[in-house]
Amino acid sequence: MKDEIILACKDLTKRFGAICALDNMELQLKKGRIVGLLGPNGSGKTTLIKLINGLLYPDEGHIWIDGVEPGVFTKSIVSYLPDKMYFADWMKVKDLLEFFEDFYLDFDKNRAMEMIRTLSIDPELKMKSLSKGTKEKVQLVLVMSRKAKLYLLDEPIAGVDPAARDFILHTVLTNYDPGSTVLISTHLISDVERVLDEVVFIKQGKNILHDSVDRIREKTNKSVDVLFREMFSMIPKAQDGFVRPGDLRSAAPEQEGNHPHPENETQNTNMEGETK
Amino acid sequence: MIGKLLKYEMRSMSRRFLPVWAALLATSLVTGFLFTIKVPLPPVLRDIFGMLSFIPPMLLIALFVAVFVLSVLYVIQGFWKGLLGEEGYLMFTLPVSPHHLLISKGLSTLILLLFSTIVGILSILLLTIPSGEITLGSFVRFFRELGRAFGHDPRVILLIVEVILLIVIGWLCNIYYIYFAMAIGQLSNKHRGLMAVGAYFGINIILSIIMSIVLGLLSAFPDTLYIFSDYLVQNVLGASNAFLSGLIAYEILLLAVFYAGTAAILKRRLNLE
Repeated sequence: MKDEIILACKDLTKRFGAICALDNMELQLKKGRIVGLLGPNGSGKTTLIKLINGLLYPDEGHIWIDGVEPGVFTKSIVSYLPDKMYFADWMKVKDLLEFFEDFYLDFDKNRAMEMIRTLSIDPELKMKSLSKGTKEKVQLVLVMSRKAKLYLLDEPIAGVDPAARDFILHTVLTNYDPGSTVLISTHLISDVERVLDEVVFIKQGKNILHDSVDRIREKTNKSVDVLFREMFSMIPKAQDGFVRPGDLRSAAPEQEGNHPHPENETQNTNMEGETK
Repeated sequence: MIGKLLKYEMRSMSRRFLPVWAALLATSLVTGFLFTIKVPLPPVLRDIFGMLSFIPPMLLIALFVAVFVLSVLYVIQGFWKGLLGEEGYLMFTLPVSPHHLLISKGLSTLILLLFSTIVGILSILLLTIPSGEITLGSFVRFFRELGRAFGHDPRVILLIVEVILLIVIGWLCNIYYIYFAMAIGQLSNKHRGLMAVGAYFGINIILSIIMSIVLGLLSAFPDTLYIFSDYLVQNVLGASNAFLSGLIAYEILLLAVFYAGTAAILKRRLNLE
């Protein structure tokens, strides 16, 4: 069961005009993993997630979710948390619970209600009367109260305070079914690293590294966060501006003694500031 | 699934329209009574009353305009915000086909227009009822007369059905015309609104060109027009039936094009904000 593939992408390509957001992306995710989809802004994380959940249609290549290409069936087994608020703001919290119960057979309303109560949110309140952080929490509760096979969380911890981050990660960890897979896209790696089983590094629409967190630590003797910062900060140094997966895997351990790139500091601190 | 989608559409619609409809009906009733009141009043009160009596009719006109504007806005906003805006992230990831989304939007808008029309007619009736000039009896008489005039010919019923169909399909056609223009508009990354408006007028121009080509072709064969006008003189009902059926067929064709175009864009070229 655990080794079955829940998500497979083959030669997946998506262009927006002249920009190639995903470039022959290859990816396979197994069931029962928490996977970090990591990459800088504009690397194609959101595009990949939108292709998986059917909001975008690929220009080339294929996607299979549990063996089926995106459509009505896959939408019934994929639970998606977008990086925006997607509710009509006149709806009350309890209306949203009813809405999810109506459309998703795998939605557990009692569990959602319980979480809403734990957060001491009044289900009678309208969405527009809630603060941004509370809205995001409600949305996460709804998404995680489904017993989906694949969860797609697009930047779930961007723009919330550290306490809310802990709540979100705790919610993900305590609610996902061990047989299902969670794909979390983020650039705030240090916060999520502890919950991840695997990471996928994505750069310019390509999958440049896919490995388990343990193996990365073992091989490079570094945390994923440090490796990420090194990999993406050394890009300006490369002569042709591109980094090849092979270079990175072998080069990464030897980078240890090197001084960080001068922009490293600012880039890292900027990351949080950039969040929407 | 269409049923569930419709349920939420109707909920959001009634929230906005029930108050306006109720206000329209109430104002009609009040205005109707004001027109008929003939109570002797002292001069001072009469002046005040005279001034105040302008308010309900003005309010009535404003409400009629409001119902019309809100209905048009609902056609645009329901699709633009509800499907192509941020709410689209929810709607397009529901386990329903894009056809279901498109049909439920169109149907709920059609229901809204039907209700608005019924409320409009009712409010005009309410306006006239207090004066006593038009009673329920006069309606019965009107329809009885109508039936007597044409009742011998069953084609009249067909004609009435055709007119109603023409209106309803015409509404649907316009709804999906607007949807199609907005679906084209959302393809643009920067100027979505502008592109939608451009698409709306662009389609209009293309249709006018096609229409004038068709009319030009028809006039190249003057015989057809003579045959039709002869037919019209000899057989008014038959000719009208033929003409209306042709219009309905044309509207259905347009509706099919607009629907298929919108569905194809939503499926393959969805470009949410």
